[in-house]
Amino acid sequence: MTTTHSKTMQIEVQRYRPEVDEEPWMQLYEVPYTDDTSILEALQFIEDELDPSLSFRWSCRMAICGSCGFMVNGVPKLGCNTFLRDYSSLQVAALANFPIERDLVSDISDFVAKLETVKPYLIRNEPSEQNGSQPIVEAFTQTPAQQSRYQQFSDCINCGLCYAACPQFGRNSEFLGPAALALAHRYNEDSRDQGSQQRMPFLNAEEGVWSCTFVGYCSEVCPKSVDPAAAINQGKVASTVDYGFNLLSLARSKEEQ
Amino acid sequence: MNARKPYSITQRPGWWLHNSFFFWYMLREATSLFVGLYCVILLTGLYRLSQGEIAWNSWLTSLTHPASIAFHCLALMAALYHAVTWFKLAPKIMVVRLGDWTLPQKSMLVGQWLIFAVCSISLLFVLLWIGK
Amino acid sequence: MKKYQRSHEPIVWSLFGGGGMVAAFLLPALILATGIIAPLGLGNPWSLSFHRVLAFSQTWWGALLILTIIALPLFHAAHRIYHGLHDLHIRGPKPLMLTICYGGASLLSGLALYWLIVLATQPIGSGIALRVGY
Repeated sequence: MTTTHSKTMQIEVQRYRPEVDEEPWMQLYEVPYTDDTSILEALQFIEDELDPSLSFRWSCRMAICGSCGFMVNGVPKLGCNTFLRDYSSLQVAALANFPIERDLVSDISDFVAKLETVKPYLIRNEPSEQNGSQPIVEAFTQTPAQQSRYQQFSDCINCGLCYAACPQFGRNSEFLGPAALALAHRYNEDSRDQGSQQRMPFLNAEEGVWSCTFVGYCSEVCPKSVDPAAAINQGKVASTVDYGFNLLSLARSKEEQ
Repeated sequence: MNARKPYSITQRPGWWLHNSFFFWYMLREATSLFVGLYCVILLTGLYRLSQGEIAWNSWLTSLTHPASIAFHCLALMAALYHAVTWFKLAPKIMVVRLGDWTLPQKSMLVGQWLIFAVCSISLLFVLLWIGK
Repeated sequence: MKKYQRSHEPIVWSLFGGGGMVAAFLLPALILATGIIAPLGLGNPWSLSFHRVLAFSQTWWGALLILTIIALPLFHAAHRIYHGLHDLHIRGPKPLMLTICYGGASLLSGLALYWLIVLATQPIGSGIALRVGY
């Protein structure tokens, strides 16, 4: 690999400066690149060498932090693991379906609130008998088979690419969306968790699993192969079972009256 | 003063035209139009059957119209595309587990096509080659 | 905190799923047989003859199979059309859209059931054929 940059590429980058712009627009930059130049590095080159006013989020550079999600030629991608060598022309924009805060920075506060809604942590019903009201200290054991039920769904890095890919979220932002619903399913499938009854009320709602029509693009763009579409649709089966049990218990309580 | 002014882009009705993945999704959903219409044709046949032999035979004759055969060719392609997409998605929705063992998605996909073959061959045999 | 309401989607989703299975496993062969091969005269003409189909529709299992093959895919189609209209931004009051899609499927399924009962109450064999003077 030579250190001199022999090739350059024209990259269109979306700009939106809330203090002066009424709407987003595209600005053209020419960026030198080699075979291992990522889109994130190209943006960093623009910021360092061409235009320090360009705003974008990034942190780890290795597809772990989930900060650098952009629309690359209309497809949700992580900037750090997408490379210029795979493109002949490039358009980089802020993630679709999120409000644009500035340039390539999306406002993800609604997404974060949805992640919190699904109670993404282990819930235990009762404190253990020995400890009484003391906090639980013992470890909950789990077999590899039990772990494999949720393992795949726990790999999410909250990058939001699946929300940018989801037309149902784009249509109705009340929809809890792929990552949050996959996270809820991940805990419902965990043998150590006892909180699924606390999660069913929002899973059962129209804004829960029932807004999904299994487009499947969320799973296609996921950089961690989480397959949120599978999680949501397994959630539909769980919600259908819950619906049946609810009908049964309603019928039984009527009989008792 | 609040300097924030987040810009939201609302989805347009033609959103599915600009991405091939979304286009194939809409095509998958559109197969249901042919499925529904074919069921209405079968329902008409049932109605004609209840009216007697002449009515039944005229229903069979109406199916020989070139427009009818053209429609059924399209419906066949739609039903096959539906089957391909359905069998691909079903293993993700229905996870088959026996104790610690989980049926691999690939095996379920193959299994569905085997059932499809058995169903299709027996249906064609019964509907086309058995008789007096 | 936002209040979530239980959706009744599980009812129609179950029917949609059942219909999708029927459509995927049975419809390709059915369409090929009744809509293409038989009309082209390539099959045995006796196979779809009046008396044979009538006798089939008058058995309880034949009637059940016919009802399943007609009704479930109708609900499958209704479900996809309902959500497809939403996807296409074709709006309408929700009760109206529900009535058109799922009401339509229910009505047509009811008709199928009605005609199967009509067939079941008719004399077995050539009774009807005689009445229409054949």
